Amino acid sequence: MNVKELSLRQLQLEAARVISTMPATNDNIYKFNVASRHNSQGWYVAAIEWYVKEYGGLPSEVGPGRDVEFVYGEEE
Amino acid sequence: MNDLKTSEYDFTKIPYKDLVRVGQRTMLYRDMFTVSWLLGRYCNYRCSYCWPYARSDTKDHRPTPLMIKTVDEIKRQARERGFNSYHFSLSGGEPTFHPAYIPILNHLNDDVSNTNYTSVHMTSNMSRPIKWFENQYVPAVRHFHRASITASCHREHVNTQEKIAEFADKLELCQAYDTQITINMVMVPEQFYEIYDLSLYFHNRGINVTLKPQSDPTASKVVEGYTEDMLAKLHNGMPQRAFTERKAMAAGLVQRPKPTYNIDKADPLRKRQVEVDPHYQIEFVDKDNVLWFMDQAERFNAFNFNNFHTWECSSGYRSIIIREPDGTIKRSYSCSEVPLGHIETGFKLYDKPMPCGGHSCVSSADSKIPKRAPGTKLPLFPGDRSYE
Repeated sequence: MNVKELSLRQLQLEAARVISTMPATNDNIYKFNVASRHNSQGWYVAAIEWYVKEYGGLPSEVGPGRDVEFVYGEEE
Repeated sequence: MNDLKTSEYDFTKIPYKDLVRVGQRTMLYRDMFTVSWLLGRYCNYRCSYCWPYARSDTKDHRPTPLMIKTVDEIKRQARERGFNSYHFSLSGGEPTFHPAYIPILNHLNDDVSNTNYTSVHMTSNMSRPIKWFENQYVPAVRHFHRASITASCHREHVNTQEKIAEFADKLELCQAYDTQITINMVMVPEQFYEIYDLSLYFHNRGINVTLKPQSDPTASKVVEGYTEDMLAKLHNGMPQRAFTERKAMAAGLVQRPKPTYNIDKADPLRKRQVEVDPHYQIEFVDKDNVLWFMDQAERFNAFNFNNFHTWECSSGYRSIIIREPDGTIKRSYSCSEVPLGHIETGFKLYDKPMPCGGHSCVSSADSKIPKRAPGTKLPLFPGDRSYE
């Protein structure tokens, strides 16, 4: 699985699962800022890759991220 | 008023260390809920000085239906807490490139008559063509109670006299349609007088300019290198004037609705400030119950007045920020607390004002939110008795 091949919407939703299952204070998410200069999609990738290292898989498939529910849905 | 570019009200006289309540007047005396919404980081400009995570080359726009649903949920929770006046401040990145930008304005428009007041603001680099402002922006904002723009003049892109004049032309067009304008100028010490001259050009065209001090990389204090003359200009230079009102009245193109919220004219503090210029948006109360005023919260940092640690703040209860690319919904940008929620998964506002856990409230979107020093028994919004 290559996180960088996910669509923009998939990246946003996977990253939302990451952010919603961690104490997302400014200090805690700063590491994703550092890893993505002038690149929001790089920011999503950094957050998801951090999660994959923590839990061993995509947030939608493994760990607490699986239980996250979206208010609008997962449509494009 | 002989010298329009200098304030006749001396902001250096304000006893910052003795202040016990701070806040934007429209929030202190009205049922105002404010939303500061960073729609996305994508920006068409690539300024060398822009912070690496403040802008993005890649698109990060969320779907329009989600944005619209978020507007509705914000209003639902705000109304549940007694707030039915709204200020939506949309920024970025460059917000005008978000596909949901005009749809959000139109959606807010549809609900104006159900609110006591609706105001929309954007922070923009004004790079869209003048026709876009004429055909898209102006029609979308003309029915609100108020519309305003903070225009960022990025001199690496707006770099010829022709482009500078075109930048001002767009702003004057918006002023004719009764849109309040101020141009943000970051006054880098090394280029201070060059930037000041450019500011004077805009000022002389009847456009307000906000002279902002440059912050250090941690955005917690003003950088070194300002002379006394420079600091004097930062402290009292170019206060906001009624330029838009005069131009809009002369043009006669827009008739804005009147706010329907009934201000409590018996409020003892409110009664003492009836003569204050409406462009003085910020009110302070000191420990001796004396009132002080400032044109806008952007000036706080020029006085290093931004530490409200342990103060009780109404952000998160009657205001939120939404930030990208993380999608978090928080009480304020600078706050160190865990977010109130996420744009994709929902959020819950606080049920009352809460103490500030941060140390540096550097964004004016944060610092203008009404707050009071520990032990102060003054309301932060109409009917507030949460200090009891």
